Amino acid sequence: MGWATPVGKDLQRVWHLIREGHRPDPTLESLPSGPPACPVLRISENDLSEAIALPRLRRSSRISHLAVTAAVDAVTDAGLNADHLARTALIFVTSDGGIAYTRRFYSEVVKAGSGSPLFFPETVYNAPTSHIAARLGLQGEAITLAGDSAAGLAAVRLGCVLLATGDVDHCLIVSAQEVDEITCEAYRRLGLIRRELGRDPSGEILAEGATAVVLARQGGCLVHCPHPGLTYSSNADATKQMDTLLQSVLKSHTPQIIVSGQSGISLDAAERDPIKRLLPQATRITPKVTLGESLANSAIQQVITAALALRERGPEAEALVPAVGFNGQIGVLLLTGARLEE
Amino acid sequence: MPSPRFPKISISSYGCVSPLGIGREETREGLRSGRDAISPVRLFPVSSFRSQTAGQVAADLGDHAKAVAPRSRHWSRSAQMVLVAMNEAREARPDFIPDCVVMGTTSGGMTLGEEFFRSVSSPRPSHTATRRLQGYFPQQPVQQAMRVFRWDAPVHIVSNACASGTNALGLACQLIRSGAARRVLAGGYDALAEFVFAGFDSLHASTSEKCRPFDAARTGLILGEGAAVFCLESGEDGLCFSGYGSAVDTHHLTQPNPSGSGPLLAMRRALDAAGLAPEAIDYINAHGTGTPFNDSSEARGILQICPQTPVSSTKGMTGHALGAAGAIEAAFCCEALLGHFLPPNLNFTRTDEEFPLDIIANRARPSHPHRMLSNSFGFGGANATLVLERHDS
Repeated sequence: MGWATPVGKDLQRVWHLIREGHRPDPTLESLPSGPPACPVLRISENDLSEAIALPRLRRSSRISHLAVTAAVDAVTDAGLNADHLARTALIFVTSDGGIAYTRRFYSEVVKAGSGSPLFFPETVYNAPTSHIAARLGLQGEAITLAGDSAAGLAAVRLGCVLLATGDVDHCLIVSAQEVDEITCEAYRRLGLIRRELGRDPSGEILAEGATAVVLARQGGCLVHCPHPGLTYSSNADATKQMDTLLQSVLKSHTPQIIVSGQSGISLDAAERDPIKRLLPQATRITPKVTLGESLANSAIQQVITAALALRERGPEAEALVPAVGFNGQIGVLLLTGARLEE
Repeated sequence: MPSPRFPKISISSYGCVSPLGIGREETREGLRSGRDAISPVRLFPVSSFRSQTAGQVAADLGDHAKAVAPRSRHWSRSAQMVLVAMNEAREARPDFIPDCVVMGTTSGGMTLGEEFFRSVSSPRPSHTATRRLQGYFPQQPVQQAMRVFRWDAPVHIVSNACASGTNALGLACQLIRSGAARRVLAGGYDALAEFVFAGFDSLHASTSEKCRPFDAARTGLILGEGAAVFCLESGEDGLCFSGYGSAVDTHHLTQPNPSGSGPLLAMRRALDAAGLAPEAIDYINAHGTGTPFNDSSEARGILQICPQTPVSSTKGMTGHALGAAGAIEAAFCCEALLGHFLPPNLNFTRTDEEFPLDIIANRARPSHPHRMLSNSFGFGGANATLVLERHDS
């Protein structure tokens, strides 16, 4: 596992901060349209220095620096060598992709009628995928998924699918989110961003981040995919769909830990209400309090948080990871400690 | 040759919207007659760009969409294309309810992103642009169409640049193959967008001339658009996908390895998965964008594995539909398998001496093909190949 978060890269240190409910101070960033400012959690350049120094990434967007950093850390943590990597699939998942270069390229098109050829190739969603593959020497299946936070859980599920085919021995799942002024403006206008820090607790704080996990057939936490996920059409429908997903989990599991995806928006109720009713005793951990809203990347952060929590609780424990994406997708994963002693 | 590792995945039905036509019938006729569907761009100003033409879906797309769902008249063109293709697939198989949906796209709802950017940059921001912003997210056009049919399966969006559609179909097959899903709706979509048009112009990849895949005088690509949707499930009657191969080539973000190693690896893996010898392939639907780099790399790959196999790229007729191309071209292969012909490679004048392929030049070739490869390659070194087969029961 590996991650680059606004509160650092060290797995255990970040886990302790999450467990303590640490709230880092966001920076307030001005929007192109002027005030109000948008609170953002950024990542230290020092944490990305190895990726930034790679010749191939010299001109690449920040999302690629983030993604490569987390991917390399996860592969190192898993102890994968070149032979392992030859039979490793890659799934990269993102919500907004290289949005900063996308804005800059289109801004040039609007102003001057043409844009820089340096920006355009980095705007495709799979640019970070290519950079990760190049850095690690991967040559096999490399899939890029785009979507809301539920897409992060879908990436893990699809990783399990690729392992099940027997074509690969490992699957590296990487997620990353960069935050640009246009992202801030978009999510602000969609009514998702926290308006006043300290006074108004509603709304989310956007955060940069990247996270990576290596899936294998043995060892570590066991990932269960009790349901493929669902599409919802309204907040009320999301609540109903989450109920369906939870019922499918509860048929054969009783998770003691919930690693919540709540971020302070009204859609949180779709997760909160069914869980409160069906799993009232479970311990809730909310990583977004510490790590901010990082969309598809947040879901993989939840997965790592669940794995770290299970390491403390032992092999009998089960952790539920729900994700209600803001754009129509909803999913759950279940992690158990059953293989931790392998 | 090893036995197949890839159980055959049946294509129960499919729908297709492309510059050649709305629906399978028009598509088949367009393919068979080698219709040039490239026309001057009508959707946004192109005077500052090198290329002034594109393969565009017919202007009455909105009417077709409205006939399926009246509320779709307010939707993006992407969503309308997906709706029409999805409806055609569903009409042929009305009892098909997907467990899962996998769609490929490159630009998603980019036109709505453009609209939002212009609104933010304007002194008087538009509320409409904000309201329509939800449509920017690439799963939205698919979800809009699914709601018409009351489907609530999860939607996975694959965005592997121009290989997206082929990767989406491949991933859908993997879902069925692994037992994770029984019925998957899969395909791809992309609509023309100014952003993308400007992007290929900036790279000098688009041409002001005709698109001439594999021609010695090729000068670049012409963009296109469309959508294709397949209903997939286990089985091997009729049409099926019998192999899938994928490879990432990290030579350069926008240029393939000139050796053709990426395409070669994808094709080899697809054939291995299907348990087929290269000689068993009757036709290759090439990625064939018409750019000097792509076509030479792909041709080198083909010559190393299937040197005698007839090859064509259909992009001379339709333009390059990016993330939808793989799905649309898989539908073209289905039409060719069913219609007993090999689609033509339009605007072909002269063989490139570096790669003496058997190009199906300018006219469809009557044939009785049973097995085909369909190639798609994209930025980021994405390479993907599908094997399609027709089984006569």
